[in-house]
Amino acid sequence: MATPDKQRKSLMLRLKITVVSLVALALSAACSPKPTQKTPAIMCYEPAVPTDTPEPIVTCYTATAPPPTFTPTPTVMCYTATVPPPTFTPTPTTFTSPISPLPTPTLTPEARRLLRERLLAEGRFPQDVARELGS
Amino acid sequence: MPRHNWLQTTLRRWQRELAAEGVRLSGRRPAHAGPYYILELTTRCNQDCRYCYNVWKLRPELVTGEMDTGGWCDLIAKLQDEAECRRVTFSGGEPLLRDDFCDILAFCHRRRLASILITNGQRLDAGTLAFCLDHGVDMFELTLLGADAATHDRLTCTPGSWERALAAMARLYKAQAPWCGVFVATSENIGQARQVVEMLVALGATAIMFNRFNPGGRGTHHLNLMPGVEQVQEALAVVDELAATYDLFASASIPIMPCLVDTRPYRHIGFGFCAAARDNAYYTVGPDGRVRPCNHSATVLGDLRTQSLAEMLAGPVLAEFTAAAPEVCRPCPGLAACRAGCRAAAEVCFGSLAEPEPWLRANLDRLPPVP
Repeated sequence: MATPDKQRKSLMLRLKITVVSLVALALSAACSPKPTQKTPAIMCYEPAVPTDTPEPIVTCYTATAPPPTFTPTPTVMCYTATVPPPTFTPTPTTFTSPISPLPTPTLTPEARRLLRERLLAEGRFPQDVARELGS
Repeated sequence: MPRHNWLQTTLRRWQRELAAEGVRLSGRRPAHAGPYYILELTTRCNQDCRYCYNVWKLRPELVTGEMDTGGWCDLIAKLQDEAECRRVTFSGGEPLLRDDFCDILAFCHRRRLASILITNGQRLDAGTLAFCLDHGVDMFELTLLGADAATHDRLTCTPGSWERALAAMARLYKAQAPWCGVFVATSENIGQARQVVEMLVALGATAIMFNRFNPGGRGTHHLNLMPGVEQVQEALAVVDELAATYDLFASASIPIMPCLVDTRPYRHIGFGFCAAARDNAYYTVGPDGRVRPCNHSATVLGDLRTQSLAEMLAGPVLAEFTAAAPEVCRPCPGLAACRAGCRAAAEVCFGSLAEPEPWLRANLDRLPPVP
């Protein structure tokens, strides 16, 4: 069972992760290179004059820059950690069955107390033990 | 090795710390932490139980010595590094008979290993209990064999053991420690199942283990302690009823073969079969560092002092252990799950993994016809 100290530590860690993740995301977004705003350049190529062509042919290409698709990717992913149920009870070792599907018992203190009182009244325990249980 | 900046390194460290606490960043709860590792710290015991399954009581040559404190600490560290285990179980013999038990436990605690302590309670005094609770023992397993001293002590062959076991349980109750009460059901005490389980509940047990007597070790000389099928059925009905009444975590960890007992009516009991090589296996390290498939088995998989655990688990010995089954069980459609009961008991009692285990052999005439 996680102790309160461990649970607090877990919560602090998760808080730290969340804060640092958000800061990193903001920094990454702020510092990432902006998509170029320049007018797409027109690139002209002048191929070598074919020896068998009387007139030089100049072909012009207009290169169109693709739309900016770049999205800043944060270095850090944000995680949401889930704390295990605080009622986790270690399982005795020699259980050999796949018992994890069984519910963890929620103890019934009142029923146990009544049982304890009945057994004490019936004298089922040695005196020392009965004293411990009764006190 | 990839280089990480400070942020990545820090996050990875936090992730590891969270994972170590059982929290996965995916948000899913991790599967139950198996396999288990039972550490038999010593062969020595202060009881002489007639039902005892410790293999060295039948075959002393299986244990060649007892590791010292350093040996155990080295082995535990190796186990943790190799198998990433997060919890070990101390057993024996009686583990509290080791003078250095607290040193070994403290070593585990320093390495953030939780532990389970299987003890007969004879030496679980208030100081030892407090030390255990302060050093990561999060489950105790103690056995109560009878509702009266005569029944219990006759099985342990140790006068006074009933009172001392109850005194230890009362200390656990006062300390509100999590503990599991074990009832070993033999032909002599199975009629007291109700009284015993009631006592365990009253003493604060958070879980109940109903273990039918499974012959091994000294128990091989007392096969008459095996309970009958009807006796087991009646006792299971009692445990099931009490488990429902008191919301108990109840289990039958020694195999109850479905061909002998239809376990479906007992809905509040978890029934287990041989776990060797499965996710919930409980590999057992003997006092000399040699590893076996479980604490009942005499099969040695290897020596953890000189071999890696992975090497042993991938080896042919474990494969042979888990594949073995008696002829009578081979046509059964339930064999894959049931594994024909306890292979270790068959091996120890009859010298062969392929023999029917003792409880099955004693009830062969009750087997239903296989379609």
